[in-house]
Amino acid sequence: MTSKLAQPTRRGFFAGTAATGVALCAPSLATAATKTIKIGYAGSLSGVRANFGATESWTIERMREHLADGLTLNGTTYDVELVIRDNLSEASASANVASDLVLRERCNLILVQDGDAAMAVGELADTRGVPTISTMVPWQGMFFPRGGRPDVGFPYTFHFFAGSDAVLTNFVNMFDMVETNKTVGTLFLDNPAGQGLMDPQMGMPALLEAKGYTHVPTGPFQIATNDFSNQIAQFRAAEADILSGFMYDSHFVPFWNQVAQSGLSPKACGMAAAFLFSSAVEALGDRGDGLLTEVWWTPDFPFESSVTGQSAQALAAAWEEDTGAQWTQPLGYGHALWEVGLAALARADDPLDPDSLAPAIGSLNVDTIVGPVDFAGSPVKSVAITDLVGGQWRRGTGKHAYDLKIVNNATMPQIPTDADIIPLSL
Amino acid sequence: MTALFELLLQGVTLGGLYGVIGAGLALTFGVLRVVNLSHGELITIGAFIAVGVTALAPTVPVLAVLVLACALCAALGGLLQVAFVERAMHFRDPMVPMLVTFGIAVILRNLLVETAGADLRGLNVGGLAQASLQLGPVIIGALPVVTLGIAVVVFAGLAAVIRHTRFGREVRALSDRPDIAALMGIRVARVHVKVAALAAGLAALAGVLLAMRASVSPYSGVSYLLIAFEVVVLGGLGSTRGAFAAGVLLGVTQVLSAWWDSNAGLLYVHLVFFSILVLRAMTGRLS
Repeated sequence: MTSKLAQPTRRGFFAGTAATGVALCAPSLATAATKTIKIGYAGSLSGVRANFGATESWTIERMREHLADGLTLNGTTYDVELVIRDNLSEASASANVASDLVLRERCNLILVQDGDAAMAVGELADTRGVPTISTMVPWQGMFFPRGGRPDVGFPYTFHFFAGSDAVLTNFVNMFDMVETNKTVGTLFLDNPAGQGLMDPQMGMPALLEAKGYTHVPTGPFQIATNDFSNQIAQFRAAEADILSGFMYDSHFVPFWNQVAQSGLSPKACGMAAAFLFSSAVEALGDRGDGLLTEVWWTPDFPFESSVTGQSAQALAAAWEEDTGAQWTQPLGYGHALWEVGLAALARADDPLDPDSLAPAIGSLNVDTIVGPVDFAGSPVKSVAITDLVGGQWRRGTGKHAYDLKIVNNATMPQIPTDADIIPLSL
Repeated sequence: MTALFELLLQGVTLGGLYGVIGAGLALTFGVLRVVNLSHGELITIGAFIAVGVTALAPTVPVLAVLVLACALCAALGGLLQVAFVERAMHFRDPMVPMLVTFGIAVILRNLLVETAGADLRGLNVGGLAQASLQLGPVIIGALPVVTLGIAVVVFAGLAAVIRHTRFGREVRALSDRPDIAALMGIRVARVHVKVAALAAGLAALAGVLLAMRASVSPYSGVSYLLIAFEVVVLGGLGSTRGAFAAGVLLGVTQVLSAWWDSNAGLLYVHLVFFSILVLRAMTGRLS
């Protein structure tokens, strides 16, 4: 069967020659039709970080509509092909996705929405020269594990996001606003991000000491932990009014229940990553009112999209109308990822040439729906550092069970605050 | 001293929960001689049924939700036994039913992700999850005490059923000498289905208690399966009373070890498990 197929037939031969002839006679026509920009995408559409990727498929569909007629850059019209891959929120699947996007699909530009994927795609993209833009993980978490040096950066890979230091600064700023005995009990999940946050010099301990807080550290804990009675016993013995640290929502539910059971009544609680999403707060029932969180983006950010012209408010409204679900913070960054990518393509002399596109990203300064993304003026090469504000979850007054209110904007004054901070009332 | 006593109590209540997690697995292993790798998924499904029912009908009392989740999960367990596991058990190789349950686990987990999403869910039991009891200087959460109470009742009930009912006699006969039990006219396949259903019901109970205490996601099953295994192996394969004791031992170990090493997690639990296994191997009492 196969040998028969492989044999050249007379008809096939003539057809082939004719096609070549046409192509040779009309070279401009043929190349015009093949100018396609291939944009690869890797993100956590499912898996443990699925809630970070929950808005992504919707965002990608909006972009697909936007790019349906192609892109006209410097007078040339390009077709745009999107190659969307799910990295399942895990490192090994990310490696497969990376080789798929870089080696097999040979994308011209890769957009990455997940930390694991940023590591895997980043390494391969730099060796193969594929311009890549990533986000959705604190920039230190992508930059230093890959051996980045702030004065050198990476040749083809770029990242924009807030830093983990900004999370801590915002927490302490918010603790300052609540009347407490200035005793802070902390516990941190034992992973690279947690170790960074609890670092004695660079992390929370130094910041708390500088601001005159008494620190009750209970150290790191393992990801499989489901019982916090020991840490809580120490907090209770020290009469900590403030609880802080880093854990996922799966830890926070038992932690918070055990805090209540123990009779400890903290006045403020800010945990990095634990309640970025309203679903995590809703899981606490009535006991989520007043929790403090870092805020990357809300519909109240006074920015608009450079792609669609929508305001942050309009983008969130469109998502809520289409899906019936409450907006989440990644909605803004997921949209901004495409804004940055498309702005870079527009800036490059030849978007298909990686050595033209990479410098175009590196010299970019674009206003997006999450605020300015500035690679050009950044102190860290290859990284655009965005900023955060401090927020507090409050009992919803409208259609949602909880609303996220911005209560401290010291690090990003252009964002208006929309509520006064309240102490926890437990 | 009070603090230490509180921690000890915490450990015992956590251990009761661990015992319930292991009870169903002990039963399937003891009677069916099947290592049921889908036990973790049955736990999560039980929890998700409870969460789903509470979301759809918030007025239904918690106890009714618990019973409903156990009943539905028991039906599912029985169905899986009839449709797949029983057939796989006809092969002499114990690997076959184990692989079948592994496959069932993968399918159940992904079905759960598809239908319910990957989100974490907790079961809101009103003020119970945060309430505490004060006995002199000792403060202990109400929910852990209730959990322990349920665990004790369940284990006592299980022991009574196995010791004093006709079904229990059949189960014991089947567990000791399946071939002779069959000769005596016990309908083996029917007992298998009942046991599988009972085990799945216990899994659902564990799932609901876990969802009250913390939260579950479709991916939680795997980590609970590991605890279930340690409970079963420590408690003596197939012994439900042993499972309870083993659960308490592991729970106390976990809570107390965190006293001097907060970052230990389950390390000392696994170490205790390992040491006892080594001890048993040295004294020649491995099974």
